[in-house]
Amino acid sequence: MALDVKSRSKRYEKLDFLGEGQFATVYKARDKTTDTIVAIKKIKVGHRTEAKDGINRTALREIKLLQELHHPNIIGLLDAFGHKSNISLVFDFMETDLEDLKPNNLLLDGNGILKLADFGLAKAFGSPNRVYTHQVVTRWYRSPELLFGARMYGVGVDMWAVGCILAELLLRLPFLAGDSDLDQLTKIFEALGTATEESWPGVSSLPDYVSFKIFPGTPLEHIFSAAGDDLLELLQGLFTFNPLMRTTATQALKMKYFSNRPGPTPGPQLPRPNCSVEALREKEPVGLKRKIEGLDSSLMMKKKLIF
Amino acid sequence: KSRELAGAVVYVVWSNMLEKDKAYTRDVHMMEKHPHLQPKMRAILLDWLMEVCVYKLHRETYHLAQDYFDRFMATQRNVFKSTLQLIGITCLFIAAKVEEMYPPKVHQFAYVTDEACTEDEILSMEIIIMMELKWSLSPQTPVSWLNVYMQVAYLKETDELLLPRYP
Repeated sequence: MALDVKSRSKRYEKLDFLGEGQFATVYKARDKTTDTIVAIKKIKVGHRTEAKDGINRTALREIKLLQELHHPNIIGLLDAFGHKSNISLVFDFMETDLEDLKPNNLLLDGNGILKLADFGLAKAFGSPNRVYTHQVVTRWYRSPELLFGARMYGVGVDMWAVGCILAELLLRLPFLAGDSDLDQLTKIFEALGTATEESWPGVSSLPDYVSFKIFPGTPLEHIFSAAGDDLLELLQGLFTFNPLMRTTATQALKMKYFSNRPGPTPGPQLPRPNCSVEALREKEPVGLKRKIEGLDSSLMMKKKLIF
Repeated sequence: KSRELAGAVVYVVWSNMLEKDKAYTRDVHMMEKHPHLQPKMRAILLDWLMEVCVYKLHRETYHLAQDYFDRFMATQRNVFKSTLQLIGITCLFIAAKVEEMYPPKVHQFAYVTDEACTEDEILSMEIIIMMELKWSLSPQTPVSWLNVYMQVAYLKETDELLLPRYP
């Protein structure tokens, strides 16, 4: 059961500091074995209680998912190594900065290919109706069902986030920038009109539902005055309150916006920044209000096994 | 036919599951690599892990731990029974981090072994198991199969969502 930590860390030659976030520090490095440039994300340890619990859980989930995902638009995990709680992840090197979909997590590689990054909270879609934590998406990109505390949610939460990103690309500013969960819902309803039982059956039964002042909403063509009808149609579908009626990725791809001219600019022709990467962004801490009492409750018998 | 399952297309989910199941191979001759162990020792260990899970952890967490244990043991030779409980509790420790929203702390895992394993031993074993499993931590479990069977069966009658709540 020998470990190869030393040889693994010797394989990479640190070149440059790229950025620092709440959970990790990112370095540019050279892989001496393949002579390629990589990004090494070193997960921070030593955070009070965190370090005591071994491998950082967010890192562990990210590794777990990236190991399984192989797609041209998902950042590639090349290697993972560590000792005790010290974990380093080795990624493809990206020229720009990558569970949650928001602009900071979208990177472009040298060929202009978009890559998704940061899967710390992503969940494999085998059991769609598990009771999940609703504190999952950075607030500005969070869907109304999550804000109302829904514990059962599906791919709709990602499509809402996609809508917010699309809107942000059009406005060059975050579309719905709430400073609290309640303010987030207010911003959503001010822009899109208040959700009602009529537009969203079941909304008032959600765990954290509160009734809001009735806002009429602003027609999307007034907010996004430069957008054509096909793009407005797509936005309208993505900003549907009822998650079951919201446009899915498959439906979205069949919409006119994606077949109408002009077509997308080929990746290599996209403008790219020259500056070095900000490979990490500050991430909001996930609210873990509820604490599990733990295994050592009176119900649980401790036991040394005698085989 | 592409019936939708909370927005996911059924056949995509299905083929992903089949593919993943093929990728996570188990070694039926695993116990033969450990002449010092008897099959009933594995049974004792798994029964105990199930017991530990009953009150505070999801059923899925137990099944993940069992998968990690079996696949880890297949990578080893001549494990002694004295390390069996350490391997078992560490597998559960990892599984809880992967699956639970609020995983218990390492000291709580050490506690339930009644001093058979220390926190340090669990943390050292954690990285060993992770390396041997090559960080592959999400197999299909009986729970994930059942979950999809139930939803597919339910979808035949109505398109409404099923809302399972597991212990």
